[in-house]
Amino acid sequence: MYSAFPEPAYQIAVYREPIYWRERKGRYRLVGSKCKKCGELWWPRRVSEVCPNCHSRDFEEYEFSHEGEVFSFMQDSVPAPLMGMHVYGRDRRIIASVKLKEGVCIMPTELVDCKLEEVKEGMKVRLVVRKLRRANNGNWLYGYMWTPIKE
Amino acid sequence: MLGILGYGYFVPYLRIKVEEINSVWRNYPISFLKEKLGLSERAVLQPNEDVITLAIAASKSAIKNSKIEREKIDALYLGTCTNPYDSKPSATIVAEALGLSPYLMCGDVQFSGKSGTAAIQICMGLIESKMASCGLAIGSDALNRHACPGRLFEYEASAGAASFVIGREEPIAEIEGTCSYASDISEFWRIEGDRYIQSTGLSSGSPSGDVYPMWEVGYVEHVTHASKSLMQKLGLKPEDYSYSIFQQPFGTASRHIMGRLGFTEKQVKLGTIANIIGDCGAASALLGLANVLDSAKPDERIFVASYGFGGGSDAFSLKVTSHIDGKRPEVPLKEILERKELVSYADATRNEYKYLQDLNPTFL
Repeated sequence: MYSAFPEPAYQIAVYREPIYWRERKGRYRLVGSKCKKCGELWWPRRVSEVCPNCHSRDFEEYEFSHEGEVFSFMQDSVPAPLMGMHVYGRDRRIIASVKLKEGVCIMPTELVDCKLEEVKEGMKVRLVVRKLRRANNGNWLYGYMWTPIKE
Repeated sequence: MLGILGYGYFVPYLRIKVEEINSVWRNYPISFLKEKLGLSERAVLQPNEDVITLAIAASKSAIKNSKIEREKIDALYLGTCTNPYDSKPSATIVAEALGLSPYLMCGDVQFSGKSGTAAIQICMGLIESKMASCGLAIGSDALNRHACPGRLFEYEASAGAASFVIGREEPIAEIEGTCSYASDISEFWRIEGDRYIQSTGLSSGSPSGDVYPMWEVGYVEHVTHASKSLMQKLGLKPEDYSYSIFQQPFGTASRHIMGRLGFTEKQVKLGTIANIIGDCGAASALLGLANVLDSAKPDERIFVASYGFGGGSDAFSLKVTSHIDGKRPEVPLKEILERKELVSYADATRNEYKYLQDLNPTFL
């Protein structure tokens, strides 16, 4: 089945499995970094764990809220293959930036399970985990996307 | 008191009507599909959905509704027969996405249509033996990816997930007992490396023609044995139950089995969802149970019997408690089933990878 799936397995750089593993918490449930001293938040997680404000090295994991609102959105008509989202059958994706309660914007990210006409700026959305694309070694890579909260 | 602490569900957004499939193949009369099988629509997966994403969405809702801290969960079993990976656990991806503690007993359970209820039984056993304090049992299936185009199975094979938190503290429904019956039978199967689920073919005794071969010795025999044995063990009669839910490979399946066990149309009606969404495999009986729990009142008894081809059946007897009122999901399953977008047959087959090309992906 490896070669049978139509999604391309990009083999452009180095072997990336350790990177996927290190970033898994951020990809699945928006775990970023928080400075314990001054409370500054980072998304994605801060790799060099030094706070630029207070120069503290005291960091902890911080899980961002899984609900936010649409800050801006657009329809992507030309699939961008290396954007980190897979393309097969999804040539009219809704790409958005999502503002979380913490004030952090997640972008670019994808809105799913809705039509373009339904999307409005300020619309409440919720995090869902979907397949992003195939990893370099051919297995599936899962990560966050957003779906409208309908009440 | 061992029972269900909370539940959640998820069904895909896209649907296809049986008329749309029939307009391509014209292989069965519409009256047969709609009236005899009781089918109307089935779910279609998007390319970015699979068993794992369905399971994650259902479990997130289940943990939220149960109002327990996710760190307390120390067992997770994912029941599925259409696992995206043959030799890698999907349960670890689900656990990581839910943010559960890594000190976790977890694994994938495979018993075709009763994988989900088998996962519940495993969690029950672990909690009863005090090996775990709280467990998450998930039934999630994407049968539509594995239904051969042009076969009757294509009209009913659907996808969905239901997730249950099993534990002791303040359950919304107490599990009074469970009983299983299993034997070796090959009416449906998918051999390693195979794309499509195959079946033995026509059966004269089946109410649905070749969609459910060996109906009498498979579904009827196993469900009857498990159900009767459970009721005998607990000293209960079909009249004691307010609702009964059966495995629903097609819309009228519960109606065919209810008479043999002494249940009535009134008991079966609320737990029947296959007439709206089709056969959800491991989630089939569990989605029916979720639909019943959405409106069940305290002290009502619920009977659940699942069936997995291959074959075996798990029967459960549940009693709803007074804790249910604050722990129902925000959006009832009925409303979620109404949120949909209908797609064409071409879109459905493309989304479900029925048009696979044998290309080297490196050069795409």
